[in-house]
Amino acid sequence: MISRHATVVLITLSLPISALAQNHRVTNASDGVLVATAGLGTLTPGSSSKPTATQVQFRLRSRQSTGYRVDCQATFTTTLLAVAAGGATVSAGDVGVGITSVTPASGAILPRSDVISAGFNYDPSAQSTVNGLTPFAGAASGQATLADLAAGMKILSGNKVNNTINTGSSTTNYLTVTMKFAVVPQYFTPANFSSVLTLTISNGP
Amino acid sequence: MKQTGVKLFLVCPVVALLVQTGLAQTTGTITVTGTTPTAVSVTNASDAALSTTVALGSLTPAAGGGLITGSVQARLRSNKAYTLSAQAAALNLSNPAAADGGSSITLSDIGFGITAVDATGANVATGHTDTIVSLFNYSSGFPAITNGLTPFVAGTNATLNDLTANTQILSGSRISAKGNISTNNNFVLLTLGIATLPQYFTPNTGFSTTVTLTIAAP
Repeated sequence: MISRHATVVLITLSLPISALAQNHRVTNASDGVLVATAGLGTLTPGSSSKPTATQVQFRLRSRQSTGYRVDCQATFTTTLLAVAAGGATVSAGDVGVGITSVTPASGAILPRSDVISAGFNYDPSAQSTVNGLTPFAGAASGQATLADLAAGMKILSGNKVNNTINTGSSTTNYLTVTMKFAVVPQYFTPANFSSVLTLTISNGP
Repeated sequence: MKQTGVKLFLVCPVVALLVQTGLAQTTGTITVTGTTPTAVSVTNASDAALSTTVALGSLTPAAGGGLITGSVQARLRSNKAYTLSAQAAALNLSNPAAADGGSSITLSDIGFGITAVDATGANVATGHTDTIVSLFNYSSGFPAITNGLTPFVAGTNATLNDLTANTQILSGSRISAKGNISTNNNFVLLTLGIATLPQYFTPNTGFSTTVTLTIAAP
């Protein structure tokens, strides 16, 4: 009797994209993975003419000679806590979003030519309500909302930031971006809402 | 019997390429969260806190006579079905003279109810409705005076005596479609009426009570 035992062990190596091959990087303000929560809290309607706001800061690094671009896409979901009963429920169009600053660290290449996309170059927290209603008219009118990001779009672009994209406390090769969100507390249908914004940095412009 | 075994082991060596995959951060996420809570409010007609004094003045009896009336307007807002209740404190008489077998004014001599409800603003919720508790419904006016006596019939025409406990006087569906307390068209404008007939009640130098309105969204 002849028996043959053949065992073949195949190991497939799937090599993910290495940071060594990357030309861009987006991180939080501590150079960690950008998974931030911007809580607007409990939005009880009052008499104030100013919206309730929150902000997130993140860092961009790019060594791409043609520069970088940041695209953003946002989902928006609500969980009703009561019936709408003929009233309005908070929507993506009620949440203003804007980039209020793009600040280069000391090692960033100068001069900078960072460009905030039209409609996103404003501070939603500084807008005043008209008659207690949502003041954000949309990106086309210079006041972007999360509704403008439903399909995804470029929100920021610029020239190369540095020759490296290394991270660490001693690095100065990044831009710090401040993004603000604001909403006017109103008599919307009782609900919880959340929006997940996915930021992607890639070759510019 | 000959047994021949051929064992073949092919093992592809794994080359540990320690790449910095964890640092390939070209995407990130930001989650924006918030809550729009159940909200109700009652304010005056200027959207400020409701604290109003209704002065009925010096109530001198006269032949025939008519009810001395006062009114208060309040704006109600809610993002859910609501109820409005009221409670009156005990009537406080200042410097009352001796009754000498006569009557002093009481809460039962002061009519109180809703004379108008206006919910026509553009940002009032679609299909909004209000229901006045019938006892407090003075939308057709106060009752006529008969024989110079208090016209309010217990159980039919509400008086402040019906509010000695917190009592619902109005309810309705969601009022406000959106907007805040500054919005000029997302409220119910409520008019509350107060009336009494000057009579030969025991003299005093003043009387007062406080009515507290409470809106809720149960």
